[in-house]
Amino acid sequence: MTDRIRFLLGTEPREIADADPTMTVLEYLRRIERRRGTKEGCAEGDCGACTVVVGECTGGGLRYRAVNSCIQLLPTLDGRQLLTVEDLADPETGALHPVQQAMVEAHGSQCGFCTPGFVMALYAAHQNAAASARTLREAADRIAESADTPSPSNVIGLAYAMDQIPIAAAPDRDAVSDMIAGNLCRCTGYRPIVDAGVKALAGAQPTERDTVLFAAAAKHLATRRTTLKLAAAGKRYFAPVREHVLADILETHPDATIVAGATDVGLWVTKQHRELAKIVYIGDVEELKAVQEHGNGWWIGAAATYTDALPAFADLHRDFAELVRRLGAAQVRNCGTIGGNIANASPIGDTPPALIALGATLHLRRGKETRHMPLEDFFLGYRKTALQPGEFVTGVAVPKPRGDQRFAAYKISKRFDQDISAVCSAYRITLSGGIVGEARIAHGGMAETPKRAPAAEAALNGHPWDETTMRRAMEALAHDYRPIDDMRASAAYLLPQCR
Amino acid sequence: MSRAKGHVREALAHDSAVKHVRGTAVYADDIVEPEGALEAYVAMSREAHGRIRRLDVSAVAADPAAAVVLTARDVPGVNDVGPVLPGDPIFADGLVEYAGQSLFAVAARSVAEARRAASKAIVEYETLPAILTIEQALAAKSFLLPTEKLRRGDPDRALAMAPHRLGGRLEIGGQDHFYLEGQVAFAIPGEDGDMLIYSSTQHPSEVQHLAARALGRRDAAITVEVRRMGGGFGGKETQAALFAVIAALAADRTKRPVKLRLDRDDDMIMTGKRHDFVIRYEVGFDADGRILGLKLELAGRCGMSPDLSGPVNDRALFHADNAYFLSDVEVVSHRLKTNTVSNTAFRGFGGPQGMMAIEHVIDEIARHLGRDAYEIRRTNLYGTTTRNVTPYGQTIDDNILPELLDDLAKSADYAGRRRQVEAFNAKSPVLKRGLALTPVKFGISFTNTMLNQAGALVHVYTDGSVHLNHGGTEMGQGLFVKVAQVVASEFGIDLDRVKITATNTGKVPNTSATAASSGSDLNGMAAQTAARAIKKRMAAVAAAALGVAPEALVFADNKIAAGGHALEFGEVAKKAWMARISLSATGYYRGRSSISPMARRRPRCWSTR
Ligand SMILES: Cc1cc2nc3c(=O)[nH]c(=O)nc-3n(C[C@H](O)[C@H](O)[C@H](O)COP(=O)(O)OP(=O)(O)OC[C@H]3O[C@@H](n4cnc5c(N)ncnc54)[C@H](O)[C@@H]3O)c2cc1C
Ligand code: FES
Ligand code: FES
Repeated sequence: MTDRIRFLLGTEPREIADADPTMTVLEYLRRIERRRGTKEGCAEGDCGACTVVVGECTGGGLRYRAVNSCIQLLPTLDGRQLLTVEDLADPETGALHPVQQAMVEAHGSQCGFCTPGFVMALYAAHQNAAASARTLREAADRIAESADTPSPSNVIGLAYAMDQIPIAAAPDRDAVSDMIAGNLCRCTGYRPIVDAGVKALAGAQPTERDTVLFAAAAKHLATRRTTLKLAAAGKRYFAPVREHVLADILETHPDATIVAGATDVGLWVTKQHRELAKIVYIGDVEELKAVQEHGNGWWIGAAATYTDALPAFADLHRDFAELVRRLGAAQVRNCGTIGGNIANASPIGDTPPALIALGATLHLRRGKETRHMPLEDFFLGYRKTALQPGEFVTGVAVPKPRGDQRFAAYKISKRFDQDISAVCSAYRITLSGGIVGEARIAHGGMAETPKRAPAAEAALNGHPWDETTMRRAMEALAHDYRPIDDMRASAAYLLPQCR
Repeated sequence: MSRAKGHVREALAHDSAVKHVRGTAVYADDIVEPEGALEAYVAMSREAHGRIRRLDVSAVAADPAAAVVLTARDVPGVNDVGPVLPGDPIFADGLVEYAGQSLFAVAARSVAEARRAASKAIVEYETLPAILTIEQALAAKSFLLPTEKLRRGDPDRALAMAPHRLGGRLEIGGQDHFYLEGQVAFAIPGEDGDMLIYSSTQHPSEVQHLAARALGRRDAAITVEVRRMGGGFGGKETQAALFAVIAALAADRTKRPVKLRLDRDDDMIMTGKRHDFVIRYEVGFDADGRILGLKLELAGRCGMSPDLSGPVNDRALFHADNAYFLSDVEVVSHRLKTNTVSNTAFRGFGGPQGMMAIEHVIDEIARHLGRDAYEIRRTNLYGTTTRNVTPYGQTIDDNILPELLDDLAKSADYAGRRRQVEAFNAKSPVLKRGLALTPVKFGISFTNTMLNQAGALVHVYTDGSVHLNHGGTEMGQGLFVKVAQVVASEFGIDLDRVKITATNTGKVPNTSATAASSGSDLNGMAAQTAARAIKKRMAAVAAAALGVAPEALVFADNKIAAGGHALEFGEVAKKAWMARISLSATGYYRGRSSISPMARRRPRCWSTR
C-alpha cells in the first residue's frame, strides 16, 4: 500500500499526503505551487487554457500527452511527470523552447491568456515528434552520469514508447489544427498559431532542456505495484493497479465513485460542486487498459483512452475513427475512456451508437463474478444503467464488419471539433444479393438513452437495398424516436437530420 | 531617419509576447495574494422578475468559514454601478429584474467555502410576470429608453413610387464575449479608507468612480490598476465594475484583501452580452437594384438596465446605411427593456447589427431580381462627389470604396469564383456554397464627443530610461507597444529604453474607456504630446551644451546631435536634472473632429484621423 502521491513536477520530485483527493491539478498548480502560468478559462475541459503535459510510463515506456489540468484530479498524477509552461524555457539561459519561439515570431499571442495552453498542446506534439534515437541516447548518457542508477528498463522503455507514437516529420496545417482543436483563442483567429505550430514542429529536435526533462522522468518514474490509498479532507481515494484488487475494493466500497479519465467526473467537481467522499481511480489498472485484436474483432478495455484505442477504432471502420477524432479534442481524448463513455450513459455519448450498430458486447465484473450483455441492453433509462453497486465495466468486445456488411457513422454538432452531438447515428447493414439481411441502426441524441431504431430496421430487413426502401426506413424513424427541444437543437431539426 | 530600434511603422511582436509564451505575464488572478487574503462569491437571483419577500442570510453569516456577508443594506454609499444612468444595483434591493442578478456576496478563505456558505441563505420571491423576448417587449411597449428616429427625404413617397418593393423581418442573435480570462478583481485595503483595486477592466476610471460612490468615499481614495486583461471585447467596458466594487466592499468591511473571480458559468449568467435585434424593413428599388426608399425598424434587446444601451443602439442606427447611399430613408430604433441580463458593449458596439440589417435587405433585393448581390452592393455604394452624404448629414470624405471593391473583385477573381460556386451548387443537392464581397464603413471614435480625450504621463530618468503611462488599457490589441513606439520615435531612442507600465488611475486620471477603436489614436497622441514637452526642455539643455540652436538638434540613435556633435540621450537627461529642469510631463489629447449626431444633429459624426 502507498499512502502518498508521488510525482515529478518538471524535474522536481513531489510527495503529497494531505491534499483533498478531489483537488484538481489546476488548483494544485495555482494555489499550492503558485505556478500561475497555467490559466483557467472554463474549468470544464472546453477551452484548453489549462493545458499541461503529463508524462507516464506505459508498457515500460514513457510518453507525453496534453491534458486539461482543470478537470484532472491531483492524485491521478501519481507515478507521472507533470510539465507546465514554466518548464519549457531553459532556466539558466532563458532560451525559449522552439514552440514558444515560433509563437512569438508568428504573432501567436494577443491578450496571451490562451497562450500557455496552446504552447503546451504544441509542446506535447513536439516532445513526441522530437524523440529520436539520438535524444534517447543522450538521455541515457546523462542518466548514466548521474549518481543514482535509474532502472535501465525505463530508459529502454522510453525508446520503445517514443517510437510508438507516429507523428509526421512535418505536420501540415490540418494536423496542427487537430492538435490545437481543444484550445480556444478569442483574439488571434488561429492563423498565426497554426503557422507557429507548423514551423515549430517541422523537423522537431529536442532541446537541451527537453533532454533534461526526459532524463528526470527516466530516473524517477517507476510503475507503482501496490494500491495507492489516501485519506484527507474527509475523503478517501483508492488507485489499485490490478483488476482483482479493484474488484475487491469496489465490493467493500460499493458507494465509491469510479473515476477513469475524469472528463465527466471532473465536471461534477468543478461545475456541480459535488462532494465525492470516496473515489476509486481505475486509470492505473493494467488489465483494463488493454486494447487487443483477436480473431474477427477487437477487445477494448474499459480504461483504455480514446487515444490508446484509436488503432482499434480505425481498424473497425474509418467512420468510427473519424467519429472519435471529433470526440472532444486531443486533451479530452488523451484522458477519456470507452468505459467512461458507456457507464456515463449520456444520451449523447458518441461511441455507444457506433458500438451498438457494430453489435458490441459489454463485459462487467463484480467481485469474482463476471457477466456480459449486448451493449444496448445496458441502457435502461435516462442516465440509468444495468450496472449494479460494486460492479464495473471491464471492456467491450466489438466484432469487425464482415465483407457483406456496410457500416457508416455520422455526427452532427454545432461545431466540428470539441462539441457534443446534436445527433450521432450509426448503421450496419448486412446485405445478401442486394437484399437487406440484417439492419442495425442506433442513434444518440434522439432519446433518453443511446437507442436502436426497431421500426426503421424492420422497414429495411428483407427488402432490396434501394432508394424506395431507404425512404420507407426514413419515414419509420418517426416511430422510433420522439426527440425533445433543448439547447443542442430543436426537435424539428433533429428528426429530419436523423433521416 | 533614426536607426534606433522599435519605432513607429515597424512590425513588432507584442510587448508581452515572451511573457505570454513563458506563462510569466501577470493577470489579475495571478498576483500573489498577501497573507490573510479572502475570496468572494456572489449569490444570484433565480427569478427573472420578482419581489424578494425574504432574504435571510443569518445562516450564511453563522457559517464559520464566512468572513463577511454583504447585502444591499451593507453598501455604505450608493448601491448602484450604472455607468451612465442608474439602474444596476450592486445587490438587489427588494426587486430582482433578471435571473442571475446579484443578491448578496460572501467572502471566505476560498471561493469554495464562500459558495458553500452562500448556499445556506433563504430566499423567497413573489414571482412577477417577466418580459424576455424582443417581440414580447414590443407588444408590451416595454421601452427602456426613448425611441430614436433618423429620417431624410420622403421614404413613404419613395416607397410608393418604387418599381419594386419588398418587406420582411430579420432576427440577429446575441453573443457572449468569452474573453478567455473571466471577470476578476482583487481589492487591497489601505490606510484612511483607501483602496487599491486590481481590476480586469477596459475602464479603470469608471471602476474607480463607481467604487468610490459605493464606498461613500472621494475618488482620490481609490486607485485602480490594470496591467493587462485576458481579452475584453467590450465585455469589460462596464461589466467589470460590479465585481471590482463588490471586492472593494468586502475588503473595506474585513480590512483584508479580497479577490472576486467569477467561474465561467456564473460569468456567462451574470454579465451582459451583445444586443440581439429584431429588424423589420420595407424597401423600394429600381430594376438595377438601386435603393429608392427604405424604412427600417431596429428593435434592440437591452435587458433590465440602460448600461450602454443608448450609445450601442445609436451606433446601430448610424450604421444602418453601412456603405450605401440612401436618399429617402427612415430608421427607427427601439431600445427595449426585458427581464434579462443588461446587454452591453461588444466589438462593433451596435454597428454590426445596423450593417447586418442593410446587408440583408441588399441580399433580398438581389434574390428578388435574380442578380448577384455584389452588383447590388456596388450599385448602391456612396459616391465620391454626389450621393455622398449620410442620412445624419456627414459628408463622406476620402471615399475609396468604389476603387477598392473593383480592385478586390478583380484580384480575388470574384466572377470566376462565382461561376465555380454555381457549378458546384448545380451538382450538389444538399451541400451548398456561397460567396460574398461586402464593403464596410465604420465610425471611429466615441459618439459622445466628450469621451474623445486621453492623457499620458512620461518621465525620463537620469540614465536615459523612460517611464511611460497613459489612460489606455491593454487587452491584447498591442496598444502598449504601439504607444511605446510613438514615444521611442519621438525621443529617437531604442524601444527597450521605454518602460511600459500598468494603467493606473493614480498616474493618469479621468480617462475614457479603451474602446471605440480610438485607443491608439488618443493615447498615442497624448503620449507624444508629453514626450514633446520633455524633448523641448532637453533640447534646450543639449543646445546650450553643444553651442547650437535648439532647432538644429536631431533626436536619433539614442543621441541628441547637431553639426557633427552629439550627446548621449542619457547624458542630456542627467545634465537637465543637474540644471534643475523637470524631466516629467503629462500629455493631453482631444480627438479632432467628432461631434455627436444625437447630441447636436450636426454634420460630421466620426473622426477622420
Ligand atoms: C470538453 C469535453 C468534450 C467532450 N466531448 C465529447 C464528445 O464529443 N462526445 C462524447 O461522447 N463525449 C464527450 N465528452 C464526455 C466524455 O469525454 C466522455 O463521456 C468520456 O468517454 C468519459 O470517460 P472518462 O474516462 O473520462 O469517464 P469518467 O469521467 O472518469 O467517468 C464517467 C462515468 O463513468 C463511470 N465509469 C467510468 N469507468 C467505469 C467503469 N470501468 N465501470 C463503471 N463505471 C465507470 C464513472 O463512475 C462516471 O459515472 C466530452 C467531455 C469534455 C470535458
Ligand atoms: S480551463 Fe478551460 S479547459 Fe481547463
Ligand atoms: S490571445 Fe487572447 S484568447 Fe488567445
